[in-house]
Amino acid sequence: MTKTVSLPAFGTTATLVVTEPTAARTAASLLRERVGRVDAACSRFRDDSELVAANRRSGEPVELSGELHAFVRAALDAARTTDGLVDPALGADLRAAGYDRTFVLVAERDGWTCRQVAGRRGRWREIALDDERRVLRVPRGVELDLGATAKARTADLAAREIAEATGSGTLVSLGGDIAVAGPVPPGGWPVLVAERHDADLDGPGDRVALLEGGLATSSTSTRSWATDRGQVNHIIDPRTGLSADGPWRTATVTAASCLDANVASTAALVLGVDALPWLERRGLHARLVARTGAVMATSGWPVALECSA
Amino acid sequence: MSRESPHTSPAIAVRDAATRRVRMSTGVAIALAAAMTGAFTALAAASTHAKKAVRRLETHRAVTHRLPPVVAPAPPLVQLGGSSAAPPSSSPTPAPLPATAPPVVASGGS
Repeated sequence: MTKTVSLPAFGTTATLVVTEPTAARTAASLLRERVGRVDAACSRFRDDSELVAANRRSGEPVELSGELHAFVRAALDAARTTDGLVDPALGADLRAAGYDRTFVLVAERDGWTCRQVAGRRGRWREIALDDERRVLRVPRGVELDLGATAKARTADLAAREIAEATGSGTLVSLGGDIAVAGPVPPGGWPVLVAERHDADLDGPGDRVALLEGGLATSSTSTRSWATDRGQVNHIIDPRTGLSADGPWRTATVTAASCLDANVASTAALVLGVDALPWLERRGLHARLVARTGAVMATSGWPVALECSA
Repeated sequence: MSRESPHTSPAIAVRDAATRRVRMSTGVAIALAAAMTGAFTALAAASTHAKKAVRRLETHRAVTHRLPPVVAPAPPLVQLGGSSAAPPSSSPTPAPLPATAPPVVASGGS
């Protein structure tokens, strides 16, 4: 017997599932609090967020709160472990592509003229973060964007915090980035892997069960908008500074944490045709859907393959 | 061929003795040469290039057979702890299972 609670978070929907129904109220409160703290620290769309303030001071040393420091560190670690495929220094590129406000407002806007940000690529390597003093120095002109890591890391932290506080088995989904912690229901946490995180749970897709860690799906088709260069999306290829236009429209990965899973699913979309061997080499289990609708998966993915429209 | 008699002259006796010594020396030399040929042949057989190459191949095959057939899980892509000083987690990547219950949540683009 599980209990499910939904609430808004990060411009999408947070879904909380607990195995102990009596823990639901406390769990929802903890999740809401956690999301609020992260949003205040890491949002790129709030004028009062700490990240926006830090981006305004690029080129200068900026002392960070413990919250933002930990998220920037996670983003830089993600860049390092993917050799820059998941790059937190692409804020200016995202704005240039049109993602300069919350996605609801981006989607409502009538067209956009894209421009490509000039300059060197891979500038995340020039970001200096002093972990002892929590001092960040971003190169002048570089804007941080933590979109590829912040939501997933929040899911991990929230799930663990709720499980520890309540003793309940806990699943936290933030827009489809899923983390589980605590006691596992019999057979694992059943999850539908679909095109959208708000898909009908009876609809098409793969049904898998998570025992631990996390699962994340990245997509180039859901958060996309019309521009003078055609439809673009929020996954920026750090090698070009333009939105990813590889063969995959969604990538779903399971990993030891939701953060790891989301870093890998984002990297897979950027990598394109090389994604499957890249995932296999890392022992990650993944499902990729091509723009044509063809589904491919790594050897560890458990469900028989199918084709979707 | 005449047989040696007690009346043989000393010069002939000296000659015959010398001949016997030459024959004995030749026999010893032939035996020694045969023994050394055998020894060198055995030594060469034990240390030829072809023999070494065969041994290397065998060693290489043995190493190849010892390689694990399954790639070990990679370390986590990032550290959740958020500190560069934190040790990387060594937990393997968990594999999902086929679900046996109706899904409680969906994962997809958001």
